[in-house]
Amino acid sequence: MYTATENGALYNGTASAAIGNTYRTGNIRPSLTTSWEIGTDLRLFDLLGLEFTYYVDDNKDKILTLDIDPTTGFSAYQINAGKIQRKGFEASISANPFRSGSSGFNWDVALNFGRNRSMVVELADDIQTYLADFQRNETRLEHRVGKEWGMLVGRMWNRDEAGNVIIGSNGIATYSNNQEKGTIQPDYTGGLFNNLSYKGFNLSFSLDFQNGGLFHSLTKMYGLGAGLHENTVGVNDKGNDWRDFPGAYTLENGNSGNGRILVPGVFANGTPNNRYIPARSYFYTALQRDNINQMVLEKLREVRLGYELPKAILGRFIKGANFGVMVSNALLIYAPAKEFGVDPSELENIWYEGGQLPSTRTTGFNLRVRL
Amino acid sequence: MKNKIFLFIGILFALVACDPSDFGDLNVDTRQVKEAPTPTLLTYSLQKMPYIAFNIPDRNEAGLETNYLNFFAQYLSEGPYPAGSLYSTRNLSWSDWYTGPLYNLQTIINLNNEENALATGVEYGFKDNQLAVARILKAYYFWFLTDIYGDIPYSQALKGTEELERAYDSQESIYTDLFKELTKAQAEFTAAINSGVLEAGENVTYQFIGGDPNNWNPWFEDYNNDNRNDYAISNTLGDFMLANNDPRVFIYGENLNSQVKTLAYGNNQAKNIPGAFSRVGNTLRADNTEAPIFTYAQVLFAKAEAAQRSWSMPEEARSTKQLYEDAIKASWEFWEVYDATAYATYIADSDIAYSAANGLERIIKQKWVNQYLNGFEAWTNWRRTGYPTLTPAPDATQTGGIPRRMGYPSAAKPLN
Repeated sequence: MYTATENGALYNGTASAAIGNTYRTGNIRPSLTTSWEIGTDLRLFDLLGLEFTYYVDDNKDKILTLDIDPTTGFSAYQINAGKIQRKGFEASISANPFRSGSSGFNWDVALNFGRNRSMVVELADDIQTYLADFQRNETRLEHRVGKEWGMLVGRMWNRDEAGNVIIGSNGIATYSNNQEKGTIQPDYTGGLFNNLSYKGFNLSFSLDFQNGGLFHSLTKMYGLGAGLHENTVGVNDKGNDWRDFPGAYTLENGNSGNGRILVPGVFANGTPNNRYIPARSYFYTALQRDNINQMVLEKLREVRLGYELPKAILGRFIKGANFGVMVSNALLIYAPAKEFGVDPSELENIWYEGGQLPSTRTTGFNLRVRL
Repeated sequence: MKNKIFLFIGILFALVACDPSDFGDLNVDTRQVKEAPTPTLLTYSLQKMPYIAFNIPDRNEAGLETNYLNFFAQYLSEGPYPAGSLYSTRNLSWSDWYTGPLYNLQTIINLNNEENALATGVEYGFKDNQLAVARILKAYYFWFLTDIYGDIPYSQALKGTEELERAYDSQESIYTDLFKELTKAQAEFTAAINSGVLEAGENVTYQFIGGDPNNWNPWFEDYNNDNRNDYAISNTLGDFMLANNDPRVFIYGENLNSQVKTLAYGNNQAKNIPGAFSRVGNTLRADNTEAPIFTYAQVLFAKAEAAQRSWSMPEEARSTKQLYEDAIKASWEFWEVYDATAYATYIADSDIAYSAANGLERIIKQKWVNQYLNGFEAWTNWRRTGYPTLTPAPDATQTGGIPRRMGYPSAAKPLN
């Protein structure tokens, strides 16, 4: 056994040490990836091009530091194990619908599109789950055998067979742990690139898009929980400010006041929930259990407008010069997460953002000179 | 040109010529000690002890955080972020207990049984003593875990990857085995005890080291280093003490203009604490405080309870009433507030005075008052006896009342 020891904090001159938490066998081999792909690259004169690739990768014997049950005395186990299969396709189309040289209008356009699926085929004997990472409120990223790679696991509200949320007698939705919310892998990703020019002017811009895939958003959690987000201001289904007092509550007569929030759902016995709860109980307590967001987005990634300076003003030593204005990270056109100030393409991590700063737009000027 | 190429090849050979056979073991982190002798493992295990009997909101060692027990026992209320006192702590990880002190203690036992050089060194102490100390401490940690979680992995635990799917042992069988382990350890230990390790009436405490960030009081860390002001003494405990002129309340709670101001327990309304409500008292949050682990007062309260239940006790002539009053006196002495007149008034008070009819209630309630910040034992006593009478948090997020056990770690199921 090659278990490391960790230094503890010296207590008044007495040495302190702990047995490390990673169990190592000392027999680690390099991991192996076998892959095959099939593709085509078609071109029609200089007008139209089509590329397509389909691939399957098998990643075997990966060096995994698996999380194991800590009651063993160790929390991690380093082994060669697992088989993760990646498959997917990438396609791109490029075209030049207009081409009239430096005198007229030119347009180059390219569209990329891809979809990748990774499946966890096997891990190791006795191990069905690879706990990759964890975050607040028992939210975890796990790779589960037989499931798609990158499963977001955590708390979800309990529902009855008809799909109604089950509410506790205190008016707060009940929840269960270890629920699979879905994979972090997007359904598809892609980009569109354009380059237009007319006489001395040229304009290029690129768009990104993707759909599907989940991420955990702490900005959403903090924004709602702390009451900073504007969604926490509003009126309840009776049309009253939900920050108002709800009055005393009884099961028969409901609340005597008109304020606060009702979580739609049913009590355990199937009768509709009639208990209004304070806004804080709703946004801080109940909603802390569900902070996922979609990776969905459309985004104007970069724009550049340039002007080719006339040769006449450049003199004999300079062959050409182009002056341009460029904007990167230009505009998040659409994303459900935008409501919470999060740009899903700028996450700090593959599966969550931990209350990060908003992304910034950069504007710049540039001058390209050819000698 | 040709010469230059030869020169280059020459340099290349010179570079390669150093011995490539040994790159060292990349699995070994040279910044860490390579091997840990048993005393260092023991020190580490002892350093984690106060987390059990002196419950602390530890921000540096989140895995050993036990402050929720102070909420379950209603010692403390929360100010700006009510959560734990509304029972939101539902599935707590036990990882750091098993992989930290428990596995260290198991290693001490293993190394001794293997006659490993890391245990047999002359300066490391006798094998019997090492085994006895490790057994007792291991029992202490397992006692804590089974009291909190109920049935837990015990007989198949701490065996590395030999056992990846461990059975859970019933609490009853764990208790039976803990008694067996303690009896075994005691036999190995009798000689040492006879030579006077602990005197009658002594307190077992843990000395935090002032000025050392790794060893100072985590309550000091919480207040003075992290500048948190999240907790104040609860009205459940504080108001009861104030109503009976209990001088210990001025040790337990911060004095604001010579007053202790308690904070309503289990309320969902966020409140600002500094200046308005009494935080944990100054002595208890000093960097070099002595945390009670097992005190003479606790021994007397346990004896009083045993007498109340008519259990036989060797060499104990005192009446239940006398044991109860002596326990209170020992508590006042421990908290350094003893004054003969005030004490006499206190034990005569109708809320405090012992009678056979209300004996158990009085004993356990006073034990609760004595063991401030030991939410673990107070909560356990409440679960076992129903005393002191506690009302669940009015704004609890769970509807089942005060939790009666901690839920298993949320990762326990996927990993077992």
